[in-house]
Amino acid sequence: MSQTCHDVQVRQSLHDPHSGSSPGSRIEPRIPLVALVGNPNVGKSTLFNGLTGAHQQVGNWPGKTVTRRSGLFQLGGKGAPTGRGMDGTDLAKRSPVSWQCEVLDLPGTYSLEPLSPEEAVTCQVLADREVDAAIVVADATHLERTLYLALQVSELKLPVVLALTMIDLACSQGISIDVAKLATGLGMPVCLVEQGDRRSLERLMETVRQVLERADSARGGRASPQAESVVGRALDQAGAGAPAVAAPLPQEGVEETLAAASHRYATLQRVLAAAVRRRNATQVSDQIDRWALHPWLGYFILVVVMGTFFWLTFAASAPLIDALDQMVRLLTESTRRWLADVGGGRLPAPAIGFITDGVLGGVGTVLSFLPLMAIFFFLFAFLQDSGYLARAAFLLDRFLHRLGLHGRVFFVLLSGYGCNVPGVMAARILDNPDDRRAAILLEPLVPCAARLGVMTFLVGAFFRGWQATAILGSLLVMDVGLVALAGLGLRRYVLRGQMTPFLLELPDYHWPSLRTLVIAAWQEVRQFVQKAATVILVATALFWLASHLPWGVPGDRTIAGWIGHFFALGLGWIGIDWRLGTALVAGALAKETTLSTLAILLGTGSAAGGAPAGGSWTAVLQATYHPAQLVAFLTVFMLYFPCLATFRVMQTELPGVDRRWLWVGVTTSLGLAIGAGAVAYGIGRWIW
Amino acid sequence: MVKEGGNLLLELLRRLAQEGMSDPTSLAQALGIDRPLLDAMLADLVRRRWLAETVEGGGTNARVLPGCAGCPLSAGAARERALGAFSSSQARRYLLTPAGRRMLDRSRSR
Repeated sequence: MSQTCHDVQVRQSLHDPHSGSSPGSRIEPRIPLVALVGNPNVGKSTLFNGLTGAHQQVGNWPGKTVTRRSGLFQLGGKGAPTGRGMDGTDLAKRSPVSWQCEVLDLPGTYSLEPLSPEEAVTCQVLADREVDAAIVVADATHLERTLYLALQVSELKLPVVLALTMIDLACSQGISIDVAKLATGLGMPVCLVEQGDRRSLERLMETVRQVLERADSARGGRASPQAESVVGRALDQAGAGAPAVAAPLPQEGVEETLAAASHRYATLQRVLAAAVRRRNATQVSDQIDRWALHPWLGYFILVVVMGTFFWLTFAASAPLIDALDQMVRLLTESTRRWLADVGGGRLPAPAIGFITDGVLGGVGTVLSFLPLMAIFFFLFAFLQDSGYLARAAFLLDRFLHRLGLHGRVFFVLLSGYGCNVPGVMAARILDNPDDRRAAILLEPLVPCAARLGVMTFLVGAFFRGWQATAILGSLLVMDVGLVALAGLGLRRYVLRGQMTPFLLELPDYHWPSLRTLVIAAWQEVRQFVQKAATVILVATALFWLASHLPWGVPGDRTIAGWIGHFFALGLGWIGIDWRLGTALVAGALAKETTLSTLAILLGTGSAAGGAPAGGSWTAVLQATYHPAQLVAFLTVFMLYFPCLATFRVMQTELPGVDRRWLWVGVTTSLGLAIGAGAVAYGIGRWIW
Repeated sequence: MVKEGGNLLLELLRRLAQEGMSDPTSLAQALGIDRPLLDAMLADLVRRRWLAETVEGGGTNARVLPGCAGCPLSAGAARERALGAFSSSQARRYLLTPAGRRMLDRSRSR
């Protein structure tokens, strides 16, 4: 095979009426023009490079910014094709054929109904019969989409050859293709093209040559009327190549277009059922999903999986947290001693307290929850990357959808599990203002990663093993129930529009790579440390000052004490004392500061505070609070108020008249939090 | 199962509108087609703007919307983008758009 690229300019003039070349410049005999057509990313350009070599003519289509690439391909002489041609004859025994054609690399498209200037060029060239034949390049791993295009091209009555690429990949994915049946079903020759295999390219072009020879006898045949009308309408809509990216497809004659498309899909179903066999992960996933998505067994499996997830988190992180907690306390105490010795003890006690208890103790306590975060997000990434988390979302979706909650609203709510800020902003995808308003108002009820982290830490510190798992699981089930209840309420009183139907496509199950899981956990931990070094540090310092001013008075008479007592007035009856109340106020700034504030007020790791001094989180919490108090606090913490960043975004997303809904939402969630906290406190008192 | 000569794409839209939430495997079975073909048809309907495709943003894998670019917390929410490896594990949702519903209403009225 030899490739040349001479005289492309002359060749171009044959097909370009605007080029200004005189008719006399035509070369006889006429070189056939063969177009490469296909979806984007199917290996079309690789095939083009293989056919034409490095010497290509690159320019623009007349009047457009779309790149035109072409080159010459010559068949015959040295490197003549081997194997059998489409007529079954041995190519090697044939006399070397000297044949050449120009190969035109058309922009990738999914169908002959263009949505972009590039696609319009492809459609125009094919519909105007500017080429003599087309090679439709198809990715063997995604045959369906390209074959749809191949059927459209063949409806134009152009000689078509199907070139199948990525055969190796298809084999590795368990896809086997019966080429003969595929060719018979589609009514066009099919060639396998392997990357880097020159002979497969030659066989492809020999097939093209034979197809062109056959077509010569029937030259002048017209495209089917159906194809001409569909493509013509689509091109009219695209304005002969004018940008139409954002424009919808033509609505005139849309039923006919749809009928023609459906006919092609039905044809494809018949052809592919006969010619393609699959043995891939989808079948395995489907088998697993028969159990995992079972109407009632699926929920049992969900409880078991999530229970194991939390239990593993607690069990694996507990010794690490204890060790880190010890280190923080050691560091705090040794720093305190060192500061007391520096300058012969002239450093004032408040300064020493601020550095040791405020900065080191507060931030150190928050940092001691790094092992839990790392393990939590490692396991979370495992659930996510394995594909199970999508199933969990599906099961919850199904449950809430049955209750009447909008599918799209639920999607927005799910977006808030990472952080409520993007969750609130995700409500922009909702067209209906009522839907949008409801999603924004429900968002604070969804515990973000920070809230979930604090809850996990406190539960893990107070309770152990399966008891911790049961407590946290119950809290989350309660949260889902409250979201469902609130959704039902909104559905009845606010959202009275039509339900938005949707289809959920679940990913195949697969075993996640260790690297991915480690990166996921690392990114969460890194972000948390960054936050601890900035927002949490400042907030902790402020709350340390508030918990010690005026200087020398007992903790409950400090500024923080006043704030806490104010809140305890309303929350004391559900077991929330002034320290827990102050921690709730701190949590409104950023959820993680709840922990550092509690550390300062409870005196974990220090001799300050009003609780057993210098103890670990577990010792201090268990000595200070009844289990019912902690559960009530966690319930209120889960629901009461979003952080300031979320509140600010809610303000922005609910402008004008909608602003009143913001206050309705905040008041309602506070009411829900107190109500649920009371129930949790009552149940806790009854159990313990 | 769609009758011979029936309009597959229209039937797909109809089923989506009637059944509320569905999963592709059972939908493909109901239509009497293979999953890969259903995927191609869904992509076609998305292209025609009758379905909208969204990616699951559950867990800590929340996607960052264009408007979040200025948010100091967006780095955390953008994790899956940075990794790139999470896209295969995300569930995709196809929602019937107002244009899709209009299309259905038009076909019913004829």
